[in-house]
Amino acid sequence: MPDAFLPELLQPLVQALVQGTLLGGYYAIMAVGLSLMVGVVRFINLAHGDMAVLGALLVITLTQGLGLPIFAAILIMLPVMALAGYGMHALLFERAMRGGFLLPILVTIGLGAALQNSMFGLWGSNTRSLGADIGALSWASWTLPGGVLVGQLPVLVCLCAVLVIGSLHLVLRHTRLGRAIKATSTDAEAAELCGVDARRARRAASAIAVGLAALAGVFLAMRGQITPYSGPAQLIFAFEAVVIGGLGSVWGTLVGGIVLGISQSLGGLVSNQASLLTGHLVFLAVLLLRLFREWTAAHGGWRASVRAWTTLHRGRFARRKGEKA
Amino acid sequence: MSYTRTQPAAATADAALAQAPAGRAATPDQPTALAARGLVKRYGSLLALDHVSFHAFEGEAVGVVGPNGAGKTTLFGALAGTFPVNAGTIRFGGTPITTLGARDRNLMGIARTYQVPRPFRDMTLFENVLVAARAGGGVPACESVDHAAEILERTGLLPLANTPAAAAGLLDLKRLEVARAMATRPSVILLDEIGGGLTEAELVTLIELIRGMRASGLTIVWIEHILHALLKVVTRLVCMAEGRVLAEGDPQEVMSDPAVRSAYFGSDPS
Repeated sequence: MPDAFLPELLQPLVQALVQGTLLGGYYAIMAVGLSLMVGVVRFINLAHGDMAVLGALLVITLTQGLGLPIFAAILIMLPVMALAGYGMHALLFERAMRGGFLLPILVTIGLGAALQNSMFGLWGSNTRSLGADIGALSWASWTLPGGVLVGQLPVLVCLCAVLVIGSLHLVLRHTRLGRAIKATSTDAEAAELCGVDARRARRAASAIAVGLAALAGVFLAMRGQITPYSGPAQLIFAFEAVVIGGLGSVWGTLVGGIVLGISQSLGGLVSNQASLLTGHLVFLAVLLLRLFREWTAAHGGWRASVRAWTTLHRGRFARRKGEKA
Repeated sequence: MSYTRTQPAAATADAALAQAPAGRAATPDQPTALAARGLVKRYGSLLALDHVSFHAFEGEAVGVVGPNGAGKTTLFGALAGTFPVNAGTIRFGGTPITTLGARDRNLMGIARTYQVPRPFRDMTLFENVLVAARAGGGVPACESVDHAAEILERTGLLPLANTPAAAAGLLDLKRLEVARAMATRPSVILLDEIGGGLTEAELVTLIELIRGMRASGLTIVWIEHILHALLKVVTRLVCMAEGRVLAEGDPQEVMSDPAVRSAYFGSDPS
């Protein structure tokens, strides 16, 4: 669509940027719970994506099976999933954490597999969606000057992400529970000595994380279709957003989600397959950059670290030169 | 014998009381704030606490000295509930607390500081104190800000209230340890080498602060290498070495004890 406001060549680019940003909102909601678990509770929950799918399937059953309005269904599902997160931490994660760093990974992989197959048993393998339950919202869009289309649902999800992350920031910063969670994450032993109930703080963080994962799952089912096995893919996106945004940083997660979303939609301009690949490549680039910066910081700046590296490997280079000669 | 020499296994707080030296004869009937009997803590084959008995009377200021590796900090960990002990009992007032965790003991009124400060790094100094005041001190939300500010003022940290703990210097973090412990409104406070690295002027301020705490009825147990500062505050001294209590009693007498001198200087000078 030629337009005076936006040159024809730039239009798809702007469209991709806008859509990527909005997609990033979804990733951020998915990732912020994971970030809380990894950065604050120091627990890697590999069943995070499956909990998102479980939340979505619960809402689907409440609306399509019991005929509840979708908003009511979400309001019922969220406390249920948060409670499940609290209980899972109390019954499973705490024990797993006592068994060293490997056990949580094994336990949550197992939990994920158990969840996927239970959901498969209960809901079957059909793809399901909440798209029909939100009416026109699933496809309605606004047209911005220049012919850029903006879906109303993605805007809603992105606003929701800002709201969720903003309130999480406020809770962590300004409430007794939030400060207890932060104190526990920095130094659980010192926190206990200050009278903080570290166990309760971790359980509460876990409840928040699972509740937010379930909310993200609902948005996923509104945007498209889910199956009981959709979780692991979402987990990967969430992990990428967490790493890009910086471990444990709440606002960073929003940035990470948006960077991931924009990379994917820019990659999508090239081809469908390039979309996910671009996201993964950007994630890898950020990861390498972070590792490199950590490495240079440990050696006192990048000049010094390059010098240290070449000094360390000088002998090897010399020998190779000698072999050639 | 002007102090109590502790024999492994046989030593109890009661034995310590029974053999109370003349220097503090006035106190056997005084209620104990904190009493530990026969504490044993093993780390693998290392016996960090070898049947240590320890007590502090209500409102008393006790000093703990001893060479490095004597088990002083381990004793604090055992008293504060940082880790469980292998054997022995701990009483707070009349209540057995041996099996309670650090948090429960803190809520009952035991606070401790760390020799190497362990602040909540991503919070400001004010927020650090606030956490302790709200969680440990049970201060209601509406009063907690004033309470935290008052403690920051008493410890001289008020100008740094909004500095992130990660950016504060070591000495300020040491003060923060004291501030955080005080904010939990304890009745017994365990201070672990808070004077190290301070200048003389700063030491005077610190001594004033601890005297003030004691005047307000707090029981103080203080591990410190800076003896002249310690002796300005404490009325009883416990000397530890190699996981055992070597001597305890009147500070001057403990310090002139040959066993203590030998533990400090390597060999008995006589």
